[in-house]
Amino acid sequence: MSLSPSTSKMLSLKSSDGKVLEVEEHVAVLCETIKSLVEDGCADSPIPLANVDGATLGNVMEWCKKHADQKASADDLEDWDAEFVERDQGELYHLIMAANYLNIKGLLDLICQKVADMIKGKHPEKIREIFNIENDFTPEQQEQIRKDNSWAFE
Amino acid sequence: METKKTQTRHRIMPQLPQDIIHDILLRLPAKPLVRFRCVSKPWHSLLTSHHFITTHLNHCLARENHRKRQNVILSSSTSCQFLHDDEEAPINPHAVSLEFPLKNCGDFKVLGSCDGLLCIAIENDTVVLWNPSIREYTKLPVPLSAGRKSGLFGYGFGYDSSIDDYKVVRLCPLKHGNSIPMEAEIYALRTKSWKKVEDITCHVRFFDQLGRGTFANGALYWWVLAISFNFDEDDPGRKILRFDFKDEKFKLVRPPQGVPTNIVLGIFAGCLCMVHNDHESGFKLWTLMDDGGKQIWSNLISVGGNQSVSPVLPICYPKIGKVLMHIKDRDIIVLCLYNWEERTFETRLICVSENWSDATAYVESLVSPNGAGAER
Repeated sequence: MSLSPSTSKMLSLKSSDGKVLEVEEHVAVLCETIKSLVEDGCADSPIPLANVDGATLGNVMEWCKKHADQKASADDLEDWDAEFVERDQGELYHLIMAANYLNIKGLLDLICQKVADMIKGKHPEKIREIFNIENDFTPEQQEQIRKDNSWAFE
Repeated sequence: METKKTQTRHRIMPQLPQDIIHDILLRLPAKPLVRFRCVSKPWHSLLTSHHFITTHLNHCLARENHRKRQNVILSSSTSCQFLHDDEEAPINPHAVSLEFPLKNCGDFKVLGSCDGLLCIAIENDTVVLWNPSIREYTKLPVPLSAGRKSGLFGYGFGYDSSIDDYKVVRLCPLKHGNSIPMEAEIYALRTKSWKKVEDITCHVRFFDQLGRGTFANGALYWWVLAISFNFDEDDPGRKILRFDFKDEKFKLVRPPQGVPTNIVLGIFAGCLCMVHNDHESGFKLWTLMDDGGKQIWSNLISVGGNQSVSPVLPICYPKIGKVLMHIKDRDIIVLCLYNWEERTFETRLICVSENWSDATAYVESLVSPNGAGAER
């Protein structure tokens, strides 16, 4: 099946909150999940995306559109991506979940790197807060690990 | 109050799947990963697991390859400095000092670097493996050949993929003079002991003052002068001494025709390379390909050189040649970038640093010198 821009038709994507987005097929197939549906011939009706809300879907498709543009140079994409990820943690969280669900490796890599850059200077307390993790160490165990690696806290 | 609550909620990523958290953590440098060991018990087990350490290492290696960058350790007999190769910061006036864990131990020499581990010899008989990224080190047991006063040691450090282990190789003549054979012993990180391996049937002198071997493609290489032999198996002269980790055998490889003495060994796209630069013969780079057990040289670069610089460490990638150069008589380190298409050099100042004599390529990793090897 040809997925080139010249033959591209429109696909309807329906978000979890009922919003319908019309997207060119060659853009939407950057999502592996949608690509498989298209290839299996199951993409006729609006495709229901139960795990992605309308606002996030809009952002994801904006990214796909830029990356489907074959005229964009690598440098251009890099600059554009750097601006694209300037978002608050809530939005990044939804983008990660969507990129994972829709199976878009490039976008997932980009956001994971952004989150990594964001957390690399943080203290463990902050990390627990961000990722909603329970501290299951006893205060003594905690103290010991901190003591053994005190340089990493400087 | 209300605004504060909303902000807090927005800062939280409540239910990221484990594999995504894993994917995020792989992209972090070693220091935060050490700090995050105390986030929770599951994080502690994850971050210290063999699997994570290996995946993290492969991620770091792939990223360096992709970005065509290489961090470097500059060392002298009393100090180590970390030089970050970062194109976004073209001039990096100060390399970062690394604190060597053994204080007042005497002069040390950085003899090799592999997967984040540095192999260091103190005086002649004390060998230490140190990972500066996680600040862990281990002092190896005393070598079998300890105490010899020959003053002509060779050392090498690398990774044996056939058994997933790191190994230190130490070469040492039995006594002074051109004595034959030279003895060799190996230390393996997993067995934590030295063992003797096959002798070298000739006497060699290392052109590298510290006797350091270069690790490439599963083997160690030394640039040597072979002077006397047990048998008439080879002719004396300048050779590459090769030690294969898999079969634990030494072999002499003839250098390409007309190679001068003052060359440095390095890595080119995973293979061994030799680099030479002077005003007479210009800049030359050869690579050694392994063709089913046979070693074949090819001359990849031959251009007019730059007279004022001398190569210290070739760091090369396909399509881009990078050679770390030292400006003679000055404490300035430049990176020469070879332009493949136009066959020209571009020189870029990257560091001004005093008090160093040697450069070693370095990749950050979580690999522990205390035994938990990384599987590749």
